[in-house]
Amino acid sequence: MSEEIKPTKIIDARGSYCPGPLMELIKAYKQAKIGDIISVYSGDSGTKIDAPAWVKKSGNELLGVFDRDGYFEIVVKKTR
Amino acid sequence: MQGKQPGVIETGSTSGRLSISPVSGCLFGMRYISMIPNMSGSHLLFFILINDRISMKEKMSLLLVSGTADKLMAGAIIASGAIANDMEVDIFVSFWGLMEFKKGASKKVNLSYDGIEIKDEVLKKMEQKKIPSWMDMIKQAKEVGDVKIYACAMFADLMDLKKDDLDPVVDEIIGVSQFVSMAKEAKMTLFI
Repeated sequence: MSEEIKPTKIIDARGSYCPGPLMELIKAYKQAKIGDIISVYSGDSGTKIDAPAWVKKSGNELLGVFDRDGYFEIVVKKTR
Repeated sequence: MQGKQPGVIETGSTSGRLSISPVSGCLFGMRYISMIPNMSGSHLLFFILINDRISMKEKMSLLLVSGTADKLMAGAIIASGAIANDMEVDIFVSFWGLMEFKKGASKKVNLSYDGIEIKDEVLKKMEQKKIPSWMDMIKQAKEVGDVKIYACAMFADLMDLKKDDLDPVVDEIIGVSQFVSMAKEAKMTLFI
């Protein structure tokens, strides 16, 4: 996580497979407030494609997909 | 069940004679039939709600007939994908699928014959990787989105199953006609 982005909620979905991490993200999104930043950790290759696509389609803001050590992190800002 | 009762919205004078053929269409997810009078500019609108759920969301309907974990899991995963695409999902379960929704159904993971030669490898990997059960996936899908599970009345009758005999994840026992009326409104329907 870069210093300037502070997530409101972190979901550690490592060890969970498609569509698990995406479902976790959508669940957190529904509970979040506008402006909240949600970060998802996942090692699942399907999620790496599906989650950013969902963010775009749902009209929210993708703050980034970051490669980490053995997993990746998707950071989303709820804008609607 | 209030959605089943046609609501009538009246605009303007009702004195005009109604034409015989109504105009129908879809507005805000509701089916409507509009009767346009011959004589005056006023008209009556009959809003007939097809489903209990009034929404503009697209729908997917699934017929889950198979009872093996691979097929049930496919249903659960596709339902999850539908939710991620902002769709509502109606799942109609029958035959071997419905038997797996019985309370106290065996939690044993069976796979269909298609993959018999790699069955053991698949089961081993599923266990190693702690893949959630198809039932857990369905529960998660229900939690995240609008997923309804309907048990087939015909098969429930055949096997003497009442609503109480089924897992609480099942919303209702309905007939095939009601399911087809849902599927008719759905963007896509899959038979699994």
